Amino acid sequence: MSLGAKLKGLFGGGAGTKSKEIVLSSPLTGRVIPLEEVRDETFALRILGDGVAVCPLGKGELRAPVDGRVEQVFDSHHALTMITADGVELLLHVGIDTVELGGKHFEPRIKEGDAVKAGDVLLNFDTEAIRAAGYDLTTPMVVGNSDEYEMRVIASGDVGAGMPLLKLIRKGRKA
Amino acid sequence: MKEFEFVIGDPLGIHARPAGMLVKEAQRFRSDCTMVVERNGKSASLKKLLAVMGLGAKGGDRIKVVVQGNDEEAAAKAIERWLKENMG
Repeated sequence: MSLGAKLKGLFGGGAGTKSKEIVLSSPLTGRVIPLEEVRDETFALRILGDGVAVCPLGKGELRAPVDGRVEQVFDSHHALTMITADGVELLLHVGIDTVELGGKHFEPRIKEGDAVKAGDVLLNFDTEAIRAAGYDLTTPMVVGNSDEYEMRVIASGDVGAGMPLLKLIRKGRKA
Repeated sequence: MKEFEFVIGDPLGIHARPAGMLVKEAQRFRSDCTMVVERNGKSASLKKLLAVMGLGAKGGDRIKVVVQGNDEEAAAKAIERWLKENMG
């Protein structure tokens, strides 16, 4: 069975249809941060798309929030993009300004093109070392093609990795 | 059709933040805007965030921007200005 077919099965969509509702789970254990409170205006002003952020409280382990394919792992290993079978374009960005670390303290567990399942570990990072270097570890998760969805953050306070975090509702089209 | 070349001065290249801002700039216009990275031959629409980030444009890379459409003149000018101010 192809990945696409498997994903369609999981999402309950039939051939050629796209799920109306998609729930993304938290990529980290941590505190839910509304995007507008992220201390990087590119995220706060939703220039990179709508979504939510999580500030890690536990270990530095980023997990896939949904089944999909890894599209790009940044050279500096602090961020990656994924695309789901439904066409959701996702950017996961660990920390603010962490591109400046040039890959230090980050260890990817996947490579570009890999098919991943929700909950799979995507990358590990050393939270203590990154914080000691003076960086905020708030991790935005945003949808690049945000204009295709309405979004609701469905968790608040502290959230565990894998718990439902963000609901995407595909904007209405003719049936 | 309008096109211009540009060499990225910023050593961090076009990572997430500049990609988001560049896409926002291109989306203000109706014209098709395409960027090509000379080093790896990759090209992408400047209106698609994941595609722009996927180009992997780094500091020192020479890029070419091609703009085609009704407002190509204004679009090319705005994109070139944005690159000079933010990535020069």
